[in-house]
Amino acid sequence: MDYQTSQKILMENASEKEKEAFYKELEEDKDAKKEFIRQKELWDLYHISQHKLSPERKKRLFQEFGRTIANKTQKTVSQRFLDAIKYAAVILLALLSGFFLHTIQNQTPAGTMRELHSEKGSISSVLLSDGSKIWLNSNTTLRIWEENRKVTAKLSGEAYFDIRHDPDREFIVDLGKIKVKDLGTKFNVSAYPGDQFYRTTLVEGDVTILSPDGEEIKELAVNQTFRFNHNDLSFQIEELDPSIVTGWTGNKFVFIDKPLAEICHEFEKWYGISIHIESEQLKQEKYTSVILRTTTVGQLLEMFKMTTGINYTFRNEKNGIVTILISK
Amino acid sequence: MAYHVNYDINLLKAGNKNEFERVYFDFFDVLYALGVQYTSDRSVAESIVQDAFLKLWEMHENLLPETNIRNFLYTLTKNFCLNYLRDQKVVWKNLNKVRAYEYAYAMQSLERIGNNFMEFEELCSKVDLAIENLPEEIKIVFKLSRFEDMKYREISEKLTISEKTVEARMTRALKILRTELKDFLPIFLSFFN
Repeated sequence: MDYQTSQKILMENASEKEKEAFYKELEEDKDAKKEFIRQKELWDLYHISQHKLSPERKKRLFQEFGRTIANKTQKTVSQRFLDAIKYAAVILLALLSGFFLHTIQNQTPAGTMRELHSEKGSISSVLLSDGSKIWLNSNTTLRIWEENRKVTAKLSGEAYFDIRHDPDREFIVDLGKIKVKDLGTKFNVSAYPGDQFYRTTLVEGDVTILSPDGEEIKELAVNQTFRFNHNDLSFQIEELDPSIVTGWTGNKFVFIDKPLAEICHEFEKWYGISIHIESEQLKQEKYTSVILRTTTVGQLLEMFKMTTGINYTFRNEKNGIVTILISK
Repeated sequence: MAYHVNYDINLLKAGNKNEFERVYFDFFDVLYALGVQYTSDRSVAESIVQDAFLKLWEMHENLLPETNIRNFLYTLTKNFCLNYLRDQKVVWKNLNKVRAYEYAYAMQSLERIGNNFMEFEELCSKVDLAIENLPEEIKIVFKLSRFEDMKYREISEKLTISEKTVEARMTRALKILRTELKDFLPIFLSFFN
């Protein structure tokens, strides 16, 4: 290990050429690399405290902080509205990356209707007064009302239900052309308006799929998925791993047979990045994957490259934004 | 570094702006210094620290009585820096190898400092103590280079010693510190071997 060169590099006195040669050497000598990282760690620790920002700039940044949070507070106004009406049954629970769960309550002839909405790119959950819990995936609306010991939930989007057993009460998820009847169980329903298939997956307990007028179509077994084509009203039973289907409740992206274009759109929303897919054909290619939302963009791209053979490059735009180009 | 101030979690939970201001001005400097040292970019460091405070604001209603605010902010800042370095490493990989390496080394260096704020603080005070214990003539050289960012030539002029002597003292300082501090640095994980 050449201390003189490493010291020169740390002090920022080394030329590009010297640096390149030194780093190359480190790649071939694991011990030297270790020693250099140790030195750099100390060097960084010696120097941390010397970086200071002027008090004026700090004050300005604090004012900026104040303005940003003022804007954010306005957006959550419906959340405070909820506090104000103090609807005891609803408790806001989890929040992931700036989600806003809006709830609205209306008196209807059939009783009290509650509307829960989770915005794009956010996941939220609500706890009902009987201990039942419902997770709402991104861009999901759920309207719930109760009449004569019968709870009906109209779903647009994706939700995971963990419903407490109550022999005196019926719980039905209404998807329009079919209904999902539950008797105390855990199940996932995915029914985004644009999707060709609606999927109901049973994780635990019992659910029955009903026709709109309440006729029994199919009783699901645990781990079974009822895949309903709402265009031609046909259905199929799939075996899907429930841990994949419900992965999104654990802060994961879950894509089941999704075109690459939709997957990339999700990434754009979540990471705030810009992705361009080079060919139309590639856009339509379908993938299934489960990815932790805390994965960095870099790791994500490498992972895709390794498992699918997709290539990526970066393009610097005039406005300073970097676009990720994807091709095969 | 002494941040042994207790913050009123209930005030923070209620979104009390004065309490947020107190946290902001107590913590900004140490988080900013951390950000600049590892990202080597002042404006990146500014926005990382700002994001950490904004995250605290987003989460404020869900703070628990036992939440350690210092640790919360430290961990967020450290993770934001790591994410930034990781992304930069990927971006520069094909454009400039030297820069990509530098981001990778900065990442590894940052990964090795304290897992929580208490550990980090302890490490910093150990470092400060080790510097204070250096032999006097060596300490002066080291401090001039460290705090005033002086080059060897400037130090040699100021202390009226030769540049060669400055360099030799600097080398000695680093050697002594390396030995003094070796027990406080975490041991390399086995996968490096």
